[in-house]
Amino acid sequence: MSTNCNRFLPVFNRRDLLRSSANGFGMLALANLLQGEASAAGKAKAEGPLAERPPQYAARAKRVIFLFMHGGPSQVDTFDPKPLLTRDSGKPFPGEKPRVQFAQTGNLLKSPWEFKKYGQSGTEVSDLFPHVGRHVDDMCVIRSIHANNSAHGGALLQLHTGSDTFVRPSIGSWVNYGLGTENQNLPGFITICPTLGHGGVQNWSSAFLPGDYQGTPIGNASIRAREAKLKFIQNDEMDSLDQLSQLDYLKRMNERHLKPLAPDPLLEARINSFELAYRMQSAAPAVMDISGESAATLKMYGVGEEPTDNFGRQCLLARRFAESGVRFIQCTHSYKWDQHGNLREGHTKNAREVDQPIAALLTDLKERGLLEDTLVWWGGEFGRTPTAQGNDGRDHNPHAFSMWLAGGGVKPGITYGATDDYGYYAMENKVHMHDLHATILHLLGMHHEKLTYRYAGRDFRLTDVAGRIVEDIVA
Amino acid sequence: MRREPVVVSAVVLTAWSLAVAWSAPAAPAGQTGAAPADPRAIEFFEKRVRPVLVEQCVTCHGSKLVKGGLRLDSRALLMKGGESGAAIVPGNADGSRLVQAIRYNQDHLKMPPQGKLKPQQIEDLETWVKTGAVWPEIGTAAANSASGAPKPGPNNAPHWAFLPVRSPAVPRVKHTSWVKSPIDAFVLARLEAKGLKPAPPADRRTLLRRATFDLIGLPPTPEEMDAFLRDTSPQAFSRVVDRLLESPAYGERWGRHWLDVSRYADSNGLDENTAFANAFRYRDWVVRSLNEDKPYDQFIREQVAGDLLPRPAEDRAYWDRLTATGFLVLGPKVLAEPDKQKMMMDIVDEQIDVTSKAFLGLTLSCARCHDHKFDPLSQKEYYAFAGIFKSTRTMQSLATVARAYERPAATAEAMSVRQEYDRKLNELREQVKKAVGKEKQQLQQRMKEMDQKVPDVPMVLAVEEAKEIGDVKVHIRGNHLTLGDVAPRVFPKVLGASHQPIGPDRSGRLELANWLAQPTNPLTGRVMVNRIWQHHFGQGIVRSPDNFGRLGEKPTHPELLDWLATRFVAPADLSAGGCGWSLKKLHRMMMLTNTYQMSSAYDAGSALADPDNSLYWRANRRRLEIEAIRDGMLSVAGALDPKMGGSLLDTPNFGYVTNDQSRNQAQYDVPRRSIYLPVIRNAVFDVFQVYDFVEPSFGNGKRAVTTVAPQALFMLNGNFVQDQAAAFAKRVLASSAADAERVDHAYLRAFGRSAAPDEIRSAVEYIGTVKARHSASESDAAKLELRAWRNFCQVLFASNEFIYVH
Repeated sequence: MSTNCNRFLPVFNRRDLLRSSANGFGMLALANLLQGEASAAGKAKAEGPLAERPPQYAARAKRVIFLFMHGGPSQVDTFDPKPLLTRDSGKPFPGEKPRVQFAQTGNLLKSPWEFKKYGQSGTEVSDLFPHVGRHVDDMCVIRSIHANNSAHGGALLQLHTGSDTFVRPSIGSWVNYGLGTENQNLPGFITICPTLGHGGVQNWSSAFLPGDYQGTPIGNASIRAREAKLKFIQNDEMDSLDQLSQLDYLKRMNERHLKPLAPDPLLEARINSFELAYRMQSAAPAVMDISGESAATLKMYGVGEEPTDNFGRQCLLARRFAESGVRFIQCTHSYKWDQHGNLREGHTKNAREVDQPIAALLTDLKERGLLEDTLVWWGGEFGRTPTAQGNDGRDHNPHAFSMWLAGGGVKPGITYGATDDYGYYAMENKVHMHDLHATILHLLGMHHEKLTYRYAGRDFRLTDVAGRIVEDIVA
Repeated sequence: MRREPVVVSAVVLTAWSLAVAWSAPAAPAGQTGAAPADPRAIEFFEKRVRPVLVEQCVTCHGSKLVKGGLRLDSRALLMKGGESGAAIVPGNADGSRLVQAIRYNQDHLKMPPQGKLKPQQIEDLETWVKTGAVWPEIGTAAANSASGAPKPGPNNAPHWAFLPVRSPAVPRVKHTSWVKSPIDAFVLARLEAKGLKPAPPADRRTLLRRATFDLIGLPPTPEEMDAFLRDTSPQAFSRVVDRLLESPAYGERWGRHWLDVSRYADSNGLDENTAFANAFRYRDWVVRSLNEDKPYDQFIREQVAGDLLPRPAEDRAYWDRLTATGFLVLGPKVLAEPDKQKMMMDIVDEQIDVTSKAFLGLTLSCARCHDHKFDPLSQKEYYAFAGIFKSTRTMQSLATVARAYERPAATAEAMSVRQEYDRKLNELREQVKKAVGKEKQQLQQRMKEMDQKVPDVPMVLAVEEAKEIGDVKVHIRGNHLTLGDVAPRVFPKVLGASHQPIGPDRSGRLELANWLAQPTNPLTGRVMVNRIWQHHFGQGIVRSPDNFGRLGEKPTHPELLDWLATRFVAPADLSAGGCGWSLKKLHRMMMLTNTYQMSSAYDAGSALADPDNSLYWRANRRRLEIEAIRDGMLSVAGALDPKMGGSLLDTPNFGYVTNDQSRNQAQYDVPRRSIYLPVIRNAVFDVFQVYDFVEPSFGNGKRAVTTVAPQALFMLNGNFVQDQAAAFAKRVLASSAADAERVDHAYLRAFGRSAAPDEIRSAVEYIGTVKARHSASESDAAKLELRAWRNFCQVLFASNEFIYVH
């Protein structure tokens, strides 16, 4: 871990501190705090519910970065080329449309973008993603994802929690419940600029799992990534020295209070929680401070340039969190991919905002050796219809869409599964959202049927009563 | 018993099923009642076998379809077999046709036809047959049997919670002098049996702080403390309890407990987070009902069927009852669900879930897709409930974005006046559209004036009988596309419900309400006394307050639970001291005991014998809920606004509270009691989130108590804490000119006790240090003083002594 330890030391020096300590601070307590601090950005072991736990069996991935494309990118315009769709554009869809549709659609609409083969593997990617295209040899593109809900809210909930019906724990919460955290000074499940709509908190909520496994949001979709920060992480009214003296005084007061009551593990745990909080207060802003990144890195991610600054920052933060031991990290490119109309312009603009940052993340992780045990997961809550809404739009389609995985023990350089000739339905090697969840847990070393939590009289799991591990894509 | 009963856990189960060291074919346990089945075998069956049979087989081989004359929904039917003979031979897997079929290696005999089972499932069924095909007779079979009476026997004895409540005799104890009430006798008898002694009484300051937080969620003021200490009569504490129960703050405290159970929120949550701008009226109804000490049976009836009860003479009383039915409407719903049939059944399911958990402590919604796997509740019984709620109107319409149903809580006259205004306003609006220039301005002005005059007609979230009323069919595997038999609307037999079929002209909600509120219902009274007990003693007698089923916790003091439930539901005029469903009487009954008034002092011997204090050898030390922490700070700082009721939500009704680009507009920065802060699903107030507030999408009677760093960050950095600390500091500074007295005053307010000399010394020293450090940069002496005292007061708020009741 190369993060500089001195960058986030509070704004006073040790000599000041010792001088003030002579005025009645508990030397030992302060020394402890500082010692904790010195390792704050390093990985500090957690105790209790977040204590690191071994996986159930050998894991291929230790952590996940989920790049969420909110709104539903179109599979037939990105990762699932359909020559017959091009040929038959303007004709009616020859198959049967789904029983439940979000809206009525018209005839087939060909993709406005060309597909090209990339890399050794020759995986085809549309012109929307030229940067990502260069990484196909590290990617496993799944073209046969399908799910159940054709409305955003239900689809987001199913994507994040497995259920489009009930309030259930998020996948990030399940992963933290199963594996604990690698660094107690940081939250184990972080979601950067998440949407507050379409399920909002439910998408990173621990629901009935203990609150320790709740996702921690940094900002939200209405805030630019550069302004996003953790709640209560800084004090606007007090300098560090004042706060340290408070902590010291609080500790003495709590210990005096504890003495006649001891032993009481809860009271003791609460005393410790203040020291942990103080370390977190130093560690989290340090990880989020990207000023120490090289100009070349910032440029690679497109930070400081438009249109890539916002998502570039998110991706860069994701790498920094991954490096610091955060177990599950989500970046959200918010609610932009919903092109019922204006497909050409909308998808073009969206792809430009994310293409370069995502490619940079893959490059960066690989160069640092992190891609091996970090699973990168890209996708939206559903795909879009190959049939047209108006003359330049597509409707929601949960029956077929593409997602891709990279690193973390997935087979690199392959495509998996297929849709029908037009890309309306997943047909071959279908991968349901439950199957994908089961596979992600598997890569992390956990069997989805064994990662259970008893609540209200029964054992719940991420995949409910379904899910199949897609062994074919595991390297 | 040949085998020791073991704690059933997934680990044990796995080990057991792998080893199959569970030797020779057992007697067909559970079949005749002769040989008790190993609980492990039952658990194995319920977890590994029944689900496979239910999900893979009984669709074709069950009560609906009987392909090949074979049914696989009871052991007897499996033994009887179908056209080709018996399906199983217990103890002989290879010789059982069922096993042969699922092995898929005989061309003419491959089941299930849709595809071979998973290897693990095949192995499990083989194991099950090999080990005697244990199939517990209780459960569905019993629930559906003609008599309805669960059969006796050690392992398939009827579950305790479904048996009628008994009125147990008060046990004899040795130390009779400790017994102030029968409750003490029940507790002491168990302690004595274990050779344990109850802790000494709590000191009076601790007791008053405990009782005050318990009943009104606020700390005692120094004046209240003083008055209690000066009252040396034996009735002093009883008077305190009465005073607190009469305080309107009582309803605010206990109303919040009920709101946890009733999953109260001011917004829908789930996919489309639109505002329930009228939900607060339900919340205020809860607070009011508790303050009035509305009998609990009536409290239930109004929430389930307030609209159907005989109409009271007073309009206001009638509107109150409509408001109460908001209980059924408040749930989170997928409002943009494209599949309307599914949506309807999801809404019904949510209502079944909250109703069965809140009043009965039952997880009935487990039976949506299959018979309940652990409790004797059949899928048919689930759909009997579903028929009642499906015959109830809960939504204005299901069209996207769907809206919850509302009814006016106003006279027809007021409604028509309101409608007339609306009509005129609409006309004006049309005119404004067409008008130009000065005329437009004048019209707009008129509209503005009229808009202000529009009388407020309060709407309430409420239900009514649906237009279409009737039974629903069982949904096989919970799927609305695969329907089975009609499930007539009746109540579970296992709970002693008698069968009065519900007519085609009524939903059955009124019957449901009356059945729930019957004194003879075995669960209603038990569940509620347990909820109250839990909030006074820190743990329920049943530690899973929302689950009294087989997978719930067993009661630590079953006789005490029944004694309390008996008293709770008994008429108030009974000489035996019935409560007549009065919660306030129940509080008194529980608090005026030595059990309640014990100290929380540690005792090594008792801790060794009973580490989690399940026998109550001492009082449980408890972390305050976030509402009490926040309200406590406001109160100590002298900043609490005591105004009751009303809404702090700015969002228009059914407008979006949160969506992608918007921030939550709810206002939390007001010094009102926490119960009045908006509860926004999907975006719960962040302070509440870090402090274990309930997830407001589920009814939940027991909050988690976690201790995590973000809570400490809030205490250190939250603007709210710092603001209250500053207000507290001003109060403390004004109390005296002497630092020592100021410290003492601060301790009295925050902790309800005086500061010890060493505490005063170190506080004064600490404050001096802070002042010294900033004296160079801060020339204003008053500001310097305030800063130092604020830092000190913030430490008091953050301390364990403030956050815990002892």
